[in-house]
Amino acid sequence: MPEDDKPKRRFPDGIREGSDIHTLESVFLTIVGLIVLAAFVEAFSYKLVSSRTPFVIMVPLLLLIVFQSYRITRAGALREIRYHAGAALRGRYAVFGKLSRLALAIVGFFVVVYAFGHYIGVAAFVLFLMRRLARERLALSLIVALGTTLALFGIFEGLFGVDLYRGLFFRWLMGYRDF
Amino acid sequence: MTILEGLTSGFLQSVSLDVLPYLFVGSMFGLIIGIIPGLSGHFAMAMAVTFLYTMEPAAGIAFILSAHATVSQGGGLTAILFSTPGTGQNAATLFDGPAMRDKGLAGVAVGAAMASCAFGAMFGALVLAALIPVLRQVVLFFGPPEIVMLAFLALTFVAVLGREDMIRSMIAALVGLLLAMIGLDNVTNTERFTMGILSLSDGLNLVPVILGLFAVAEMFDLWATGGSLARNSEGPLSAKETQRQIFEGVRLTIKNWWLVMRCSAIGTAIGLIPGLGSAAASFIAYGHAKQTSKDKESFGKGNVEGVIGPESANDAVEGGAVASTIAFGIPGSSSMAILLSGFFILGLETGPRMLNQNLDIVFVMIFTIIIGNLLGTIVGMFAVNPMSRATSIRAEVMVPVLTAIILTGAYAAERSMFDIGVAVFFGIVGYLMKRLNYSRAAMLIGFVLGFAVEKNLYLSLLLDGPWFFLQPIPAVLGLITLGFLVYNIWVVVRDRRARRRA
Repeated sequence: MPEDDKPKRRFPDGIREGSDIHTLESVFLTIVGLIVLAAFVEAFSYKLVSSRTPFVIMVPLLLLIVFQSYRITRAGALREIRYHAGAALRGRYAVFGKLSRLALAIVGFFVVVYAFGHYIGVAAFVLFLMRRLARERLALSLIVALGTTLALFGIFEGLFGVDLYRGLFFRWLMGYRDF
Repeated sequence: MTILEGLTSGFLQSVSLDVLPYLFVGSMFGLIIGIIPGLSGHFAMAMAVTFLYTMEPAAGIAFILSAHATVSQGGGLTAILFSTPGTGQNAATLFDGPAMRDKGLAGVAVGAAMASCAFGAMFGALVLAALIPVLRQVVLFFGPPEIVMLAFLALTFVAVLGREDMIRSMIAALVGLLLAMIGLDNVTNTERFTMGILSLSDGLNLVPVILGLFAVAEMFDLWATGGSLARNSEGPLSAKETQRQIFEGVRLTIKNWWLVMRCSAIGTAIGLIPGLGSAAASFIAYGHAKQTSKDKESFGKGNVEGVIGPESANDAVEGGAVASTIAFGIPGSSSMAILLSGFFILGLETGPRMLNQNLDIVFVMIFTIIIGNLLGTIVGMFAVNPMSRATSIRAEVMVPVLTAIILTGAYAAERSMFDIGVAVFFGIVGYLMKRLNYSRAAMLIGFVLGFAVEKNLYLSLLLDGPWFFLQPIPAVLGLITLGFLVYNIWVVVRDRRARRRA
């Protein structure tokens, strides 16, 4: 995430170079560790035949996560994590901001597809990314958005006979009321 | 099915109108993906796998495998013309390819690279064909205990030999195995780790997980990088001179046939070992080409042998890698794991069934590798200039289009909106793994093997008791795994101590 804009960055005293990646890994490992721990506790509620293999996997996995966390932990790590997390949330890391906006656009794509179907979702998604986030020319953005939508229709519906999702609104127009 | 019947049927299917168009489209798709830096063989296969649901087995296999077969040909092109390998497996070509370009011999290097790729792939495919009678016998000795131990061996190899850090790769492999446990347990019919979500009852679908890890993650990466590769280039070559040079490159490759054979043999042998992959094969082949050359000094300064060696090896890997995947159902790389997923989607089973009843499909694979590479070479030879323009597409245009296609593909596989969410989730996870040096290949292989490991472990315990791993073959496989792991941990500790002392 933040590694790409390294040359531009100046860290305050006590924040080491490369600690941004350590912060990212610490957060990543913490989330993975917590999920595995939750799964470990959950596995106790299953019959032994069902929980045997997950336990065989999770015991070494938890040990490795602890070991890896120990490996990357250094003195002053907590302060660095606080610093980088705060800086990322305040928008000081350009790449993090760029990727967060892309991730949010994808979530938006999901919502639009759910409501209005694939074709409107795809056209809106491509147009939004190109025009709004990438600041491409409007004409080019429109051409690419329409071209992509038509290509998807051609490939999925024409070539492979896969009906893409039409969306809740279309279903409502068709008389469905039970969602 | 006898080998002759399989060969004849496989050939006829490969050149039939039901299969050949898919093979052609797959080859062209792979070639273009290979040219675009950042998109690699597993991206091409991940995209291709979404369309398999609507295809017949032979067509599906031809489509997915041809897409993978030609990627390195495209990657070699950008390594030579733009000093940026389209895929990791072309990295060794950077030693001599760009140096030849700077001498005004770009076309010669491209011709040599493409021809070497094609010859290497053919060599690998022929070795695969030659191995079939042996594999048919060997596979009979592999029951549930052997498969369990072989799966652990493959996972260990992938985790240790991959480019990524060993501990991180082992974490990734185990997370992959754990992901395979989500859904209904086949033995007790108990729902495991579904969090009450109905869509998870059948477990995570393969396609969105693959698309997330290898396609959506690449989109995040491309979006973060931005721009296009061609912005630093000096423009395409003159068409007439390029053609003349390309044919000269092909001639030089044929002239160096013995080097092609040796490097292809290196590639095929490495392909048989899980975890090493094409990148390692091409570097080893480069070293071998340099070591055995009469003109060692010119290596790195634009020696055509420095292009022929690695390019022959990186495509020959496929034959070896496919052999272990079809015989034991144990993939050695992310691409082979996606191929194995493709088998599942197409309703094909690996192991004795594949090598006996579905032998025609094995030969379809062999002919796909051969024909796909030939098509890639021929098209590549005549369309170097137009194809190199693919590198001028900016990430700002490419990412929106490809992301829309990828997410639609995630939906289309099972017509499930939930799968779009899965692809996005694994896209974010895949991107983080890439940045943090966690092996995505190990995770995918763990995920793909998880089901087989659990089923075979259950059968082993049921049939042979808790000491099943003490039988001769499982014991040998277990000892190799343990020895390999212990040796590599010892090497890491020794190196760390040496660094501290220094």
